[in-house]
Amino acid sequence: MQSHSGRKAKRVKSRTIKVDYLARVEGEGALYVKTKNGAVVDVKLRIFEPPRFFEAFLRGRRFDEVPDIVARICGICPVAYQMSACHAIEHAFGLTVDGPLRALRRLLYCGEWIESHALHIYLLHAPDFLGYADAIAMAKDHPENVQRGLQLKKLGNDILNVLGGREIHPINVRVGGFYKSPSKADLRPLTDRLKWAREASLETARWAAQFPYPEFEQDYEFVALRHPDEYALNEGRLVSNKGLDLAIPAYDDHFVEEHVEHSNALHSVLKRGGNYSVGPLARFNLNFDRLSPLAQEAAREVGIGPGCRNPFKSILARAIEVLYACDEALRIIDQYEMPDRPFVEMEPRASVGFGCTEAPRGILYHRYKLDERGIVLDAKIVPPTSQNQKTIENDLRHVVPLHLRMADDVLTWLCEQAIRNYDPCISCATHFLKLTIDRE
Amino acid sequence: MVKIIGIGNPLRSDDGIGRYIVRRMRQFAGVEIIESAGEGCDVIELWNDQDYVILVDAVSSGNKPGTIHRFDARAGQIPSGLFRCSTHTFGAAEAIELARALGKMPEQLIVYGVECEKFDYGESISEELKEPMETILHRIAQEIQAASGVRGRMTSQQSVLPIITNGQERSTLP
Repeated sequence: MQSHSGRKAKRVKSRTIKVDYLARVEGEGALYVKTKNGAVVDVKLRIFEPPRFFEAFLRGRRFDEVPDIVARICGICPVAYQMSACHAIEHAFGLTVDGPLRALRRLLYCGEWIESHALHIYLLHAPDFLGYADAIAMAKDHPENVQRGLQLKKLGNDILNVLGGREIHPINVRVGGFYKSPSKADLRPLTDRLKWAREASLETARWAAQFPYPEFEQDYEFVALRHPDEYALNEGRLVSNKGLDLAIPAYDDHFVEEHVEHSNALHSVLKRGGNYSVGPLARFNLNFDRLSPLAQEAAREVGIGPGCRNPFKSILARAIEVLYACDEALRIIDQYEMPDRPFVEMEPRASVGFGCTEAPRGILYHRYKLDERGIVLDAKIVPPTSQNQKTIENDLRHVVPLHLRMADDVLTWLCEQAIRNYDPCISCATHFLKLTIDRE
Repeated sequence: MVKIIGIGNPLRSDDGIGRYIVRRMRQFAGVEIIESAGEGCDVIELWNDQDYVILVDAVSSGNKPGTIHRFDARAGQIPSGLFRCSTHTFGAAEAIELARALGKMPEQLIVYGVECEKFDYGESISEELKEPMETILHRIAQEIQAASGVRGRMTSQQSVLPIITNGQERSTLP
């Protein structure tokens, strides 16, 4: 393990910290921080991955093509894109998907959360806390932990395989349900592995609880879906700890996307002013009471509870969510009865539909305007990373002044770690990172 | 078990070259042909410690398109960033190094990389990669036959294209 102590820089009036290409994030981005006389004067999370124009590709396509097109936006969270699209289109057509089909969607989403969170916890974020340049260096000293992470991730992928037809861009999801629903026998082999994974995710949380956490808290506005009965994945109202409580169709009345010159990803802010935070920590804080008793107990054991405002502890919230996803998947499989038909029939109608689901990184909003044949006239997609960008920049604006005595390499490390708290997905948001800290 | 793994995205033009190459090796008896999108965590799961593995992937290192690289992964580290990056920059090279760190390397692991240039949307390979493809097919056939005595009928022509082996140019197998 490397040590950060004893590497203090001599005091300077101003400096620049740059990361030209951020590693361990999805997509292409960079960071630029400029300080003057100990104050941060500029923070830019530059997203230079080219814009991907998916919303424009969708215009003129039939509604039933949409889930497969949007799955291509991200290789890590294709299910999130498919789910938000299906819910939005079904909302437009006045369709409700219930019973075992709804449960299967939830199971598919659990698979994606397990796969995405395990990747981020073990391979992308844990090396930051333990002082390793990457997961490969960490694996030499912590092989058992990395193996556990890989096995958890594989289980998530296998759930996607069983339900989605394949692990990267699932092909079995359609508006109204699935092309083919699994039998009870198809799901049964997952049970023992999920029981192992439930234990493994508790071990993950215990392991992460021992990491050194920087002292850092902010007064965030956390935004997440909230459902009356369950830890929200696919459905609910959008709520915040600062008074927001709205139905999904009112999203555009409360949130607006702004273009900033230094980023190819739009910044999403609240219309009433201010940035907000989405993702595991927001969900954990707003929906702690909806976690399974086992997940709540695990959270208490590892010392994280609702009201946590330290973004570096998002890795713990992620670990608790993996445990929850395993617990929930087991519940769904146990109660599953194969539906008579794998999907619900629908009739297109001219309408506008709204959908919002909890992608691993936070809420993912879709809006589609469709004509009477179900052709997409207009599409809007707001991914979680767009919504977190301003909060990430804001965190950096507050983290850097607290640590100006650090040498550039140590401060750069801390900045990158702070960015990875949000598991940013640049590919989604440019549809992300190099870091520059400029000390003048 | 001899496993030939082709990595890439066949919808992104030259990026699919590894998969196009291994598809042409299906006539080999006793050889398992595997295609993969190249997501690092999945690649590690494709072999066990008894396997003889040959992995083929597209390379983007700034060399002339069509340049062939050959690495004996057991003998040394694969340069990171050589292969086209997969999700979260965790691709084949990182998968191999993670496997090494975890003690999960196969008995033999030979890696072929083909320098590619065109990664746009598309389902065809650049014309200048066709000869290197034949060369790699022939070389893999030679490697398999030398290693396990497996016989297969190859349609490729004997090629004399040079191969950069572990960073050094040579035209014969080590």
